[in-house]
Amino acid sequence: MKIKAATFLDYLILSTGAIFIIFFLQLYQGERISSFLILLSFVLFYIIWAFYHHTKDESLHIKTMIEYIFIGFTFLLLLIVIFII
Amino acid sequence: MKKLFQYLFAPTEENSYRAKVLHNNALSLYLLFAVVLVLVFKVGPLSNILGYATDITVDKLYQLTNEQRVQNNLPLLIYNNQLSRAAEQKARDMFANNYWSHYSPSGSSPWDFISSQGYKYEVAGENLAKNFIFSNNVVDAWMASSSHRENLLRNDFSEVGFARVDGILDGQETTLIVQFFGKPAETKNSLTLPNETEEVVAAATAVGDNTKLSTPQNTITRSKKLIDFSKISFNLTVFLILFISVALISDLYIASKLKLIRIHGKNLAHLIFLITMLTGLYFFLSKGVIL
Repeated sequence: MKIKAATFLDYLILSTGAIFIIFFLQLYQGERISSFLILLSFVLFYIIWAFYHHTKDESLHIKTMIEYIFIGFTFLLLLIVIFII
Repeated sequence: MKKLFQYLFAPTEENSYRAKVLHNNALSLYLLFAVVLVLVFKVGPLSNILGYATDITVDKLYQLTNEQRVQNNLPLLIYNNQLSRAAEQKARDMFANNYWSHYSPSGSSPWDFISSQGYKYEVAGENLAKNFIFSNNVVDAWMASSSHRENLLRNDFSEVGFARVDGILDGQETTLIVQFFGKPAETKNSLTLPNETEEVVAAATAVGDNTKLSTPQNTITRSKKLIDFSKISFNLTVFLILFISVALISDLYIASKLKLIRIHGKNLAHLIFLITMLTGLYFFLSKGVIL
């Protein structure tokens, strides 16, 4: 699995966002509403990142964006079932 | 069978070089499934039961506590209904008066709750925990703390009672676990609490016999109900998360091996997203506090 140099920065941005989210989740550990809002923010960030990445990659397509939206909200809802609210 | 597996989980010509279970119509089904789970378990008629997603049960706590004693060559603790009722009363008092402490704001001690149930003790102890999801995490946390461990492994104690009660504490939905230890009174009384009150504290209560022994199954039936439903939702959710993860990994691996260029969402990005969400879950699962 090779990542092109052009897309490396994009993955770095996504990973940095992920690290920040993990940091905030740890900071607000045990606070259900805060945890939910942090995870919701990450889902939105993830979708925006996908839009940015695929635009730059010239591979933006409605089906691709729907895939990110489906995955983002599916996992958000599944985690809500397990532990939030 | 192999063909079906490849069709579902590997990029092939038949599935337009994308694992079928990752196509948008399949993803829409997962989203629909997740919505149904939320509606059934969080908004619907089961929401009252499942407001607090935790797998903690009195049975399991009792079993794990005794496992620790067996490992340390100590006699098993006998389950006591009075201690369990006292523990439940203590937990409800913490919610009613919004405190997280061995002593209530009005000065009530754990021993007051034990005595109010008519349990006459020679020695007694209390361990508290809140916001754990799994019973084993509670007992592990107690065992990792010297003062709580001391209570669990104290040779003097012969009986134990537990309560797991859900409520609102400091504006947050909270699951409280109260564990009371005791030895029925014969001569003198002494009490133990973890942390600052670790040392044996003298207390005055009458001596007498009133212990009624029973199994945990006879009490706290509410906990039983909670487990069944939370286990269903938890297992369904974990299954779906694992299913999607396996599909993403297998599709990514095979596509990378075949050097496929596809116009789809990036599996690597999905996996970074998934790992982040699961890390959040891990933090939540290990967030319990003991006292």
